Amino acid sequence: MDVHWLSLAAFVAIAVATVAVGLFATRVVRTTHDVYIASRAVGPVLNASAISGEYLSAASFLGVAGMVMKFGYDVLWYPVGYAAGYLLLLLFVAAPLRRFGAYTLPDFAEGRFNVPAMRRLAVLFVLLIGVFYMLPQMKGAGLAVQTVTGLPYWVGVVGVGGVIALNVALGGMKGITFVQAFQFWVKAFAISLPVFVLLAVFGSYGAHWEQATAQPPPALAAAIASGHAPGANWGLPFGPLAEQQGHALLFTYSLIVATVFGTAGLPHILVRFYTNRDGHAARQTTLVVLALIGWFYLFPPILGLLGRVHAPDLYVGDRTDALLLELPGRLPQPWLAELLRAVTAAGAFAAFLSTTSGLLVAVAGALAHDLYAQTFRPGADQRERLLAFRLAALLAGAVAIVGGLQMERYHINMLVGWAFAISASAFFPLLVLGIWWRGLTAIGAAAGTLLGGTLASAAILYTMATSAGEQPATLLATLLAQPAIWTIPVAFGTTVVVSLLTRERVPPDVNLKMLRLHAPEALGLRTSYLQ
Amino acid sequence: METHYPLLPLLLGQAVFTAVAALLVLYLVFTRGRTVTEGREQAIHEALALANRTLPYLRRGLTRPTAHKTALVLHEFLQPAAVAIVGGRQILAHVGAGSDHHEPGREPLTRLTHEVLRTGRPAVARTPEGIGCSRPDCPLTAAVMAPLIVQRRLVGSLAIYFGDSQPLTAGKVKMVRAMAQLMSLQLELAEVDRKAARLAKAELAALQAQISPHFVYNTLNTIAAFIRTEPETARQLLTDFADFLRRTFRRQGEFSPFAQELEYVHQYLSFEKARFGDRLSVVYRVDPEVLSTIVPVLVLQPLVENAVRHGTSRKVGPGRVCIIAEDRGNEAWFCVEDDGVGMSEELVQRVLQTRRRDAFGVGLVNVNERLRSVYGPEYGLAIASRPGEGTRVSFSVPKYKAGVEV
Repeated sequence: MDVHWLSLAAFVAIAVATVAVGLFATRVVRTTHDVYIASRAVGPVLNASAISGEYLSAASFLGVAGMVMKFGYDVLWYPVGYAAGYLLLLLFVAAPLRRFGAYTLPDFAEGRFNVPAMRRLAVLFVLLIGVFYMLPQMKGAGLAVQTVTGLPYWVGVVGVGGVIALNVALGGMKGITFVQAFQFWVKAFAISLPVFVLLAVFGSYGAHWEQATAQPPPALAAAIASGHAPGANWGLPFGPLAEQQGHALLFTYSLIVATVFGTAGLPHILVRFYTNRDGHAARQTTLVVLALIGWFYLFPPILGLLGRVHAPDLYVGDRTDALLLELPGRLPQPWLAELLRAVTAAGAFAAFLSTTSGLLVAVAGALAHDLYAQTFRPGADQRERLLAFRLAALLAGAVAIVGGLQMERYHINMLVGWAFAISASAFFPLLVLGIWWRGLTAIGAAAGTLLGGTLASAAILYTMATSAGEQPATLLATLLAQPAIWTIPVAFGTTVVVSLLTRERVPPDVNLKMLRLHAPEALGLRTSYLQ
Repeated sequence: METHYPLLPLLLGQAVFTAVAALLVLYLVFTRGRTVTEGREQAIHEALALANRTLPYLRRGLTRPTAHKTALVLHEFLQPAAVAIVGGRQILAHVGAGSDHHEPGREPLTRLTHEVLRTGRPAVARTPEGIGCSRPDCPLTAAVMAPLIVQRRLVGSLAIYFGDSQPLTAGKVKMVRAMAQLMSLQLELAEVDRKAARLAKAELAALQAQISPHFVYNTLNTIAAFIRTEPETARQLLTDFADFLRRTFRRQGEFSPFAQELEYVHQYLSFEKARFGDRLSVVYRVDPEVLSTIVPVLVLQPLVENAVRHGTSRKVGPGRVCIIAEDRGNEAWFCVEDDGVGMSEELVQRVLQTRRRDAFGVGLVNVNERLRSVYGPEYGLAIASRPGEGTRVSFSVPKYKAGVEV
């Protein structure tokens, strides 16, 4: 495999641009006239771009297109789930949580009940979710570097992971909103441009659809015949992904449940909402996120379709995850192919760079602030806290790298689905019931979080240890491979039942907390700042 | 089938069993003896443990919930027939026998309690008649009561009731009196805590109402200087100043978003810049992510005022003030730098270590105190200064802290 120098240059360019945007993002204001710029808040569109940028990871950028190509158009359930989580955030979580003023989920867990132990419990699962989410990003990095340069998988994992860990450790939080927003627009550009170019070169969408389903071209027909590729049912709403009745369908439903309920609990997403001015702005931001993400997800399925027609050789080696990086190479003009490949490479790099940075910051913050500074060494001074953060970032990065090296055989989206499952089982009941139910007690919340999160983690770890990354066969294996569909109800039920059983322990200031969560800004009960 | 048990293993087993039993007996004999000689230490340890357990409750004052929790602890520790705590002319807690009619919220039912509350002296009763409960079927038969006295004021009483099987010894009487004294001490701590909180609030109110006389004088002079030459500027400054004063004197509460602090500093600086003109330049470097961080009120302006007054105004030539707000993950970091005359090392130490307000640097000292009291000693001001080169005052604040809310 030859080295695609332009793509490699694109990698470097993205990395440099990220650092540059970060450095210049801080508002430096010198004259008297525009002094008020310094205190202008981050608006909903900017913040929504940042959230979308941090959210759209390698799974969305590389994974969805590859899975559409491999499993059929009904893989669209994945992006639907990824986006629908924000609907739940919009309806139930975004505004109240912003009004509460919590920065991270452990903050909310402690603050809602005034019980410091809840913070530690929440941190445990933040770490777990963070690590699980970083693993597929590392895989994406390894895969991308392998595809672009031909170097072995581990080089990409160690190289990219190391660069990101160092960047975060040495103060890579500079201008995080702008950096993430920039990454989003890079990704949006990188996923949409190939679609327009390829359709312009190869023909219309309708023509491709014909070729993909009814009249496959010779290479595709050969792949179908040899059993590597799905046949004409590829385009159906319940195609190859769901065609094995019962279990695959159950798996899909469980996955949808995981992604929809798990978005709210993702540690690197929740902290972005703190930047909003107030609860109203938080809702506006979430709405814009829905629009941006929804628009983004229009493109990967089209690329999957194009891949099925023009790159059916990827079926044979089961390399569909690399579709986005390979597809430009099928263009007849080599210079255009290289250019487009560089664009998608840049987008892929932006994808795992942004999400991994966000996750690393969240995980390192949890380790340094919640565990070290608050629990073990409360008297730590400023310098010590900063050092703790740096070391935590390096440590977490090392864990992600080591884990990423083991992840080659798992599909990116499967790994992401696991992170969502743990987040949904551990945190969704805590968030929703904590925000909307007066009767929640600390013990009930702790029981639900602990039980839900532990069951989900155990099921996933078991699956990782015993399976080899292929689709689960038996009912039990399916339920263990994507446990959300039963762990979430268990967590919810446990929380409710234990809270009812311990109802004398409802915090005495619960009404005050509810007021803080829900009182609309228009009432003017609290001063929000002028703009 | 008949089995013969071989003789040797049987004897061996018997020997082992005997040896173990002997060892057990020896151990019990010796540890019992040790327990006896350590009895006194054990008792002291238990007494201190008891004090430790009641302190967190009584430290919050004598209320029904705290009295109830304390009574539970005492009941568990002493195992009497009942424990009762009276405060503010009503029964606050009653744990044990007789709790069906000695209910919290009611007036005390026993004559003995009324006597203790009247005289402020401890009292002992050895019969039900001595206790004098208004209910004839009251199961309480013997009692020791002692008053709770905080700062020479009678606030309530502690009563330990004993049953028929528990003889009322002189030792028990002494113990109850000692316990009441301990409780009184702990309630005094609650009083001290409350006073300290009131003092801090009063200081804050004073700070909010205070405005530097120098600043008012200088600003009015600046406005006066513009009246003839630039009347529009003067008019604008005057209305801005009125608005600024109104904001200063209005009660704002203890915390506000950082953006509001920044706005207040903008306004303050607009007057200083009108006064100094080109001699003062201000640079803001603000990360927008920290604008929504909740900080104590008046935490930035005193720092800026210090920078302008002692940094720039005392300096010959132009001065620069930098206001920096950085997003540092879970914390927000704030800094005010100036390139003015600086502060000597001992002045810096004086500011950082003073606990009261004093004439110089009243803003810095107060800000330092408030930051430390809200967030902890590790979150106080950090001051770096070199005489002749400049000063840099910085602090950081967790983005979320339980109890910190607007």
